[in-house]
Amino acid sequence: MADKKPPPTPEPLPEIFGSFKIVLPADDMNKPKDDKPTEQPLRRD
Amino acid sequence: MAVTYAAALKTSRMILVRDHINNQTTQGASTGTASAGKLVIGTSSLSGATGVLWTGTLSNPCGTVSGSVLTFTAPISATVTGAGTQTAALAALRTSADADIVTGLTVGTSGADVILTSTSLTNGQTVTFSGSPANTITHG
Repeated sequence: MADKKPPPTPEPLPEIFGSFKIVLPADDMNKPKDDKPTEQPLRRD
Repeated sequence: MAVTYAAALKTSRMILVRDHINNQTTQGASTGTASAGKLVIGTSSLSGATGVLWTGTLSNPCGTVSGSVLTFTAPISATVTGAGTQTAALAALRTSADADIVTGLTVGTSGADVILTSTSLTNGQTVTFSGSPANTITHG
C-alpha cells in the first residue's frame, strides 16, 4: 500500500507591520464663517 | 489667519485626547477609572461595526504625552478578523466601548495617516505596530 502524502502545509501569512503619525489640525475657531455663496465665473458668450 | 495655541494648552489638549481614548472618568485630569482603547482598521466603508478588518487593543493608558505629542505605547498587535482578503482604507481610534474618538484616518502604504507594509489584509494575518517608527498624534 502506497504511503499517502500529507497535504502540503499552507505557507504562513506574512506579518504586516504598521505605524501611524497623525497630526491633528489646530482648529481655527476664530475664523469667521463665510456664508457668501460661491461666486460663479462670468460667462463669455 | 492660522490660530496659534500656547504650548501648555497643546499639552492639555493632547492629554484630553488620551483620556478620551481611555474613556477616563475624569477626562483632562487622567484620574478615575480608565479602560484600554482600540485602534481599528477597516475598509473604505468603516463605520461602527461595519467594515472592521482589524482591531488592536491599546495599552491603558494608551501612551504618554510630551509637549504637543501623544506617543502610543507599543507594540500593538492583533490578527485580522475580516473575512477573506480585503483592502484596508480607513482607520479610527475608539474607546473600549467602541465610541469613536478620532475617525477618518486614511490607511495606505505611503502618504497616509496609518502606514502599513500592505493594505491587503487576510483573515488570521498578524498586523503589528511595533513602535519603530513611533506611533504618534501631534497637535498641529
